[in-house]
Amino acid sequence: MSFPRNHIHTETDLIRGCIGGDRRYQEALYIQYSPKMYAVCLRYCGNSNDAQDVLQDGFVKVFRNLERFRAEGSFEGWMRRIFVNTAIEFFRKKISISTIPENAENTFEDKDWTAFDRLGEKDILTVVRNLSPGYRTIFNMYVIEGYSHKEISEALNISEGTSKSQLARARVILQKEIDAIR
Amino acid sequence: MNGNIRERIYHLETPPPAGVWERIAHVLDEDEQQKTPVIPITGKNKTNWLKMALAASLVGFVAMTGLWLAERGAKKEKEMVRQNTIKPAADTLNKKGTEMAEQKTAPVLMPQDSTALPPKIIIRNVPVYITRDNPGIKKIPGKDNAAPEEFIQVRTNPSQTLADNNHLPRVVARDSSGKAIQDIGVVRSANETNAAGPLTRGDKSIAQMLSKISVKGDNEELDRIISDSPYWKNKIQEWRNKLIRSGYSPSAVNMMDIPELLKVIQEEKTP
Repeated sequence: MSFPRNHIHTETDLIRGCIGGDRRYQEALYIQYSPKMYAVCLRYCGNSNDAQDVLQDGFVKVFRNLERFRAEGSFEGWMRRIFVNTAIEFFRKKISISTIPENAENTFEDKDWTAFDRLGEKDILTVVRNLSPGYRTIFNMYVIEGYSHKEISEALNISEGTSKSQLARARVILQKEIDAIR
Repeated sequence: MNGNIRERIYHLETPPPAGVWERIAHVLDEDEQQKTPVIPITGKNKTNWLKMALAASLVGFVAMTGLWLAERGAKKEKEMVRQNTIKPAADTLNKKGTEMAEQKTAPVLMPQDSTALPPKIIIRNVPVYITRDNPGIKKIPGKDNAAPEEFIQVRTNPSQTLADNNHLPRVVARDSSGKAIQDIGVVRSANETNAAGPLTRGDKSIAQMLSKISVKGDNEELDRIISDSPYWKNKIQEWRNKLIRSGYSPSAVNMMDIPELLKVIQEEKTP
């Protein structure tokens, strides 16, 4: 497969070229998607060094498993899931999520995020980055990525109740941070 | 959280630092180096594999059949030779007791009715020995405890001079353990076809004497004479030494060897 320079490649062309092992297509795909994926990595990681490692591991996984992409959803969504899972794996040892009694799970209200409406995205990212890895991961997955508690519990190997309670605690911590900023 | 803020965070882009792509490319290069090419067996490949497998099976079948037939033929031939042949002789002594390399020679067919002893053997320019495995050979009377094989000494080309024949190997019978049998007494006479065609017969007494002179063989009759007579003991030792020094190995069935032997053991005239 030839690689025309100064040409805007379609997503399909890039995917085909990458599956064929053409390094030029792989680089083009990296250039196109790395800014978005690096932002994801930064959200899940506390620092840029870890984010770079997750970015590297995530792209290697993408290129190794690209032939499994079935085009049933968006390619960016498929990539994003790979990077989230890579970040979870990266921090699996660091993430320490304490379990709580199942009967207490409903006492937390996880829909009240109005305090964030008065902040810009950079401020939000700053306060989120200060969370511990466990809270940060659940916050990112639930609030930003839109995972359900069921999906989060399966991904992190915890119960749904734990996921909900951890999110509620993350919100309390973030609220304090936002109050401090004001 | 306000949906717009969530969307903005979700789609936020941050350019990665330089050098990440190079690291990714390096990992991918290593992957390719470690990857073993796998050829899927599908379509045309499958047909080719089947053809190759079929051809290999055919070659294997032909080879196995050939080996089986060759082995069967060899067994039959070996059986025929065992029943009807005199096996070839092995190595011999040459000059001055030096052992020569073993010479493998073709077996010679022996008539089935050659049962009488001494065996009348027609030898065609090859050294031979007779084995008791041959059903055509009877045991020697009074020699039941003799070595399992008997031998006959031959010279291969009587038309040549004695000196020319000197390089030819003597034939020595060997027993089952490979040890040379020196009992020439078991042979009473031997025939040899010379270059002109007629047979030449050698007497066993000459053979016995030659054997005694050439090597320290055991012979009851001669041993008794030698042990009773210091003269003959010294004489035979003297002749043996002369024969060894000359490097000459006479044959009992070649009459031309007798005068040559006489020359070798001739008494030196005292002045």
